[in-house]
Amino acid sequence: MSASAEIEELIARVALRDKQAFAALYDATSRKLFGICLRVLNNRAEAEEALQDVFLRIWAKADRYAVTGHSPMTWLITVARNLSIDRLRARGAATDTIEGMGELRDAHPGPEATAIASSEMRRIGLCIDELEEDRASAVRGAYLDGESYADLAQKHDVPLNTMRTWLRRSLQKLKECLSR
Amino acid sequence: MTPSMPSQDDSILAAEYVLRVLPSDEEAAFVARLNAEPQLRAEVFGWEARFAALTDDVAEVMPPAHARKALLARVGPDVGRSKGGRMIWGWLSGAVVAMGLAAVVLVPGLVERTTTSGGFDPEMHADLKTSTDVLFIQAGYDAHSGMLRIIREAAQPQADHSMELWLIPKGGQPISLGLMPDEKDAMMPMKADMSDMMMHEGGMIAVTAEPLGGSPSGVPTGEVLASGPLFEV
Repeated sequence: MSASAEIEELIARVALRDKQAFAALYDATSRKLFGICLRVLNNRAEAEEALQDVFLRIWAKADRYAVTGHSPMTWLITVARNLSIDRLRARGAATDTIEGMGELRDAHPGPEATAIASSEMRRIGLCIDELEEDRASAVRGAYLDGESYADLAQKHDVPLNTMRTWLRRSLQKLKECLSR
Repeated sequence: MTPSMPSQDDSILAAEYVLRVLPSDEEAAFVARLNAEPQLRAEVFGWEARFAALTDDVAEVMPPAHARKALLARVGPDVGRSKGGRMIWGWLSGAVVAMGLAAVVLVPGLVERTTTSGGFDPEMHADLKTSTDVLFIQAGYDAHSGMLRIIREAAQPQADHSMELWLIPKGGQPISLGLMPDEKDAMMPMKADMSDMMMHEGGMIAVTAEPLGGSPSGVPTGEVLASGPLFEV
């Protein structure tokens, strides 16, 4: 069984409230997910709390994993990244967030299967490399550092609307590159 | 942002939503559309998958041991607690908790593997452990005689449910091996066609709590009490 199939089976067992499978899933994936929490939050204590949030969410929502059609790691990574950003934005009086973000995030999974082969996923790295360096950095900054348009505009020293136009064009190019 | 926006724009909007850079009013409007528009949800899942690959080069970091302990303690008391309509989990988990406590008292340390009696020479072995790492059952399989030997360690027979043993072949669905015998040390004859699956490493043996007499449907329906991988002896 591939590592991915093993993790998928563990998630299925976690959905059946199998605590041993939950412990095994933690052992198999917590290093990666903790790395992501640390990368986003850049603070060990907060990353530890985020990791707890992540696994409690996995425990609570494992039965809904299948409807996303994601590969198991994509789902786990998305949960870890989103909850870390929730925590990042809860830190200060962030202006660009809305109340109840976590709940809204939960509301969206539907029954569509958009399974993406991992080789296709890897291509995003190559496609991002095709972007100009500062634009690639903006995409990464938004995804991994939780930077808002305001943050990005300040960092790249451009007006906010310019920043948005930039990023949207970059996303368009990314999409074209990925569909080639 | 009008509802008749071309889909190319929707795809970029979905990417902005996944990146979480949308201004709050646009995000709220986007979320409102998600429930009604499957194509939009597909765009969101697509971008989630693409962006997730950006974490490929994020270094793995071992979280501290206390984080694992705290987490497992937090899911413990909630096991089987349900929001109604799933009463079966309630009493099953009650039994599991009771058994877990008994196990801790009865088996303070790991039990040494019992020496095998004459004529039984297992090629495969599995230690079935509970979620708290208590040795629950030992299983050994001798392909020559086709016998599965089951030794109860912490496992105690329960009056209100049956324990059922399962083989979960590598990458496959659980196959019932039968109900847990009453004896502390028992031999269970296995069908000849089980041998190949038993002999493969990567398989797993698990025991679940089922209604008296075993799972009515032939697939596990109850709490997994313990499980362990099959390995060559």
